[in-house]
Amino acid sequence: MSYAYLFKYIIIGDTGVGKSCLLLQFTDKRFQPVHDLTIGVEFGARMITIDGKQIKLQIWDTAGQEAFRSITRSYYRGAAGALLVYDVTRRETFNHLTNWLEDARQHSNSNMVIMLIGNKSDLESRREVNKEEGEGFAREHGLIFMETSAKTAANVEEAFINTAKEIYEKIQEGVFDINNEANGIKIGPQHSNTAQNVQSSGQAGNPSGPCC
Amino acid sequence: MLNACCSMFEWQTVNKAELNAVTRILEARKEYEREMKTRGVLTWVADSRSSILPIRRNLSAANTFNVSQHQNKAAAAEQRESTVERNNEAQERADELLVQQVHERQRRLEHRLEPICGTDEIIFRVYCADHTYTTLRTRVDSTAAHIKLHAASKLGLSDKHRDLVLVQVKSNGERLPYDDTERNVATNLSVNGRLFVAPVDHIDALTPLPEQDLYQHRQGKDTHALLQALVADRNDTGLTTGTPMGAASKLDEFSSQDVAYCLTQMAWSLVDNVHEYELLYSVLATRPSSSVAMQALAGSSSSSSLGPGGGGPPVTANLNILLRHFNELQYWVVTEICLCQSVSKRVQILRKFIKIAAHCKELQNLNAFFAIIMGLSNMAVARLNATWERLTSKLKRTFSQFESLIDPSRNHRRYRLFIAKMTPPIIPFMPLLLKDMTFAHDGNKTYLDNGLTNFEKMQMIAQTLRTIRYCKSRPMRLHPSQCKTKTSLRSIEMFFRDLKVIDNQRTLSQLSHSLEHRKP
Repeated sequence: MSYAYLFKYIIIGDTGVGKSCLLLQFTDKRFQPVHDLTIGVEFGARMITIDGKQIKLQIWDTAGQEAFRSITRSYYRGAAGALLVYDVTRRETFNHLTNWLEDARQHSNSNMVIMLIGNKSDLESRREVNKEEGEGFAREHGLIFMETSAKTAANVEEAFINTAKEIYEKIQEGVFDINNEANGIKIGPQHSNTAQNVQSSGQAGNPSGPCC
Repeated sequence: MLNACCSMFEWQTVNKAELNAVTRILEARKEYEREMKTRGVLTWVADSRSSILPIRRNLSAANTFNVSQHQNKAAAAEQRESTVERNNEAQERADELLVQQVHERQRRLEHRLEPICGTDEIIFRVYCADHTYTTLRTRVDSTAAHIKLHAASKLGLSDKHRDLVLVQVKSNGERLPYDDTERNVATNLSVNGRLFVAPVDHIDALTPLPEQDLYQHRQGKDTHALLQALVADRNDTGLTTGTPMGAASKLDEFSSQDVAYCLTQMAWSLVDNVHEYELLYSVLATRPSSSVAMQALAGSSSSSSLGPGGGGPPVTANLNILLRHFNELQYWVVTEICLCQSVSKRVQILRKFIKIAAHCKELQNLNAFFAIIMGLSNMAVARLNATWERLTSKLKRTFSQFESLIDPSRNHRRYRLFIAKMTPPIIPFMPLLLKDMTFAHDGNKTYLDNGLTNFEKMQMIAQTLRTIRYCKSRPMRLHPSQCKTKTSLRSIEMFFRDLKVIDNQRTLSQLSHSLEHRKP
């Protein structure tokens, strides 16, 4: 399916906060490891519509690699948005946000949109971090904030889509240089004629290939 | 009638193949249990100074076991070889591998490197908020609760504190409390991480020890004095030679080929020690939702579990050490460069690292290869433009080719294509295997809605395990002719055993900024 833009996301946060579950909930796909190397499609991808435009979200999940911050760092390159996730039932995952944020800011481009997500909001009885605290942190650091539940799917769609909206707005405002792929944004094939520069080929996300 | 005959025949072949598989598994288990029995209990030391092999074997204790074990191994090998003759063609290859493995294990025994098992003992330190500590000796598979209580009583923490927690404090100040039921605690610390015990409401007051971050406790000093102090500190430990200004590391003395050789030798013994199930246990253990799956896959009764637990609870110690080795190598690369004040010296080191990486790649040691490349891509190193500019364009090209192999696009397609062309022995890039395992587990239900086991998921998990098995299916036989100077190998090994690195990203960026100021 063709798209107007492709946005790359990265999902970060401590082990066990539900990063991969959020992604799986959003893309509604089971994980199929890439064994068919000839295809090699990205597995976390989904098409959404904003302002009447088709936008493909390509999401890089860092689950299972939390202990290797350096690998996570290689994912920041070329990400337009980041979902920074903590678990509302585990205080320490909230405490570590500063370190994640510092890492993200250091390794990404300064325009990257960061969405703070307090996951597992369905587990009200075990809650250790109030919603207000999450909001406060987000306000202080200029992030967008949402509480989600990957289990019940509450707010999951919204989290991904709101981040995309924010990126889209930045494009409209001319903040993002859409011709620079390092920003994590790519113009769709049929739209690229209007762009000034020619897109370098061979990068992630074969636009004509299957989505996921 | 004919149909019935056919299906009967098919049934028999399938059944025979399955039976063979089961018999092999049972034999392997028996052999493993026998091994563990004759092996006895070994004691390992988690030395806070050394990190490449954080768990060191107590040699005096080990030697006594070595003799009997060696004999036992030889007998086992003989037994294997005699059975090979009886086997049919189809099985020959599998058995050949098995024999190879036995030989390989014998060789390993000669080098006194063995996997850690759950019943082994481990010696390590546990600290209090005031940085006093006690040294504990517990079983490798002890729970956090056990360690916590043991440490509390030795540290004299009053019994009133029922709400004590075992916490890892990382060099950057992050505090990671352990769940009471967690195991393999002493082996899964981060590179400069330390174990602390504290009441739950005092966790926020825990601070890293000065030794965890050489820089932070000297923050008052100016950069020049700081670097000098750091270099002096390194010299004190006898780890480095060279002048403070040049901040030359001992690395200068070693040829990049020899370093790669040593790294590969070390990494192979670590990889070889990792039981494939450790990968499974480590992913299941970090997923809070997996208790059911854990029981189903790991076997809830002690007698039915296989792997390094030795019939006990799952042990991931060997995998933990391998992963830690990966992280440590990375930070070593960053530390070496960030502690080097002179630009020309830095260029030299940079060049050397790229060469070491190239040699590691040739030796199919992808774990070390990526560790070095990722170390060089770390922002603290990558931002040093004045240094990179002075690198020859050929080396720059080589580096960007190397870097493109870690590109995460299309689920690490480049890496997957790259490794697919290799033949074993391969030391794989472990973090990616962990990621595949995490996704196979998180992304698929263990039980289907009708209560049946989700076999597709099991196959996915098995596929990941098979990858590591495939990588190890041929022993790594390094020949001394592959290195330049045989004499320095020992000193390189010692160098890596006593490696001291900075693993605090904040510190590394501060150092980096002091070396080359940000351009306005």
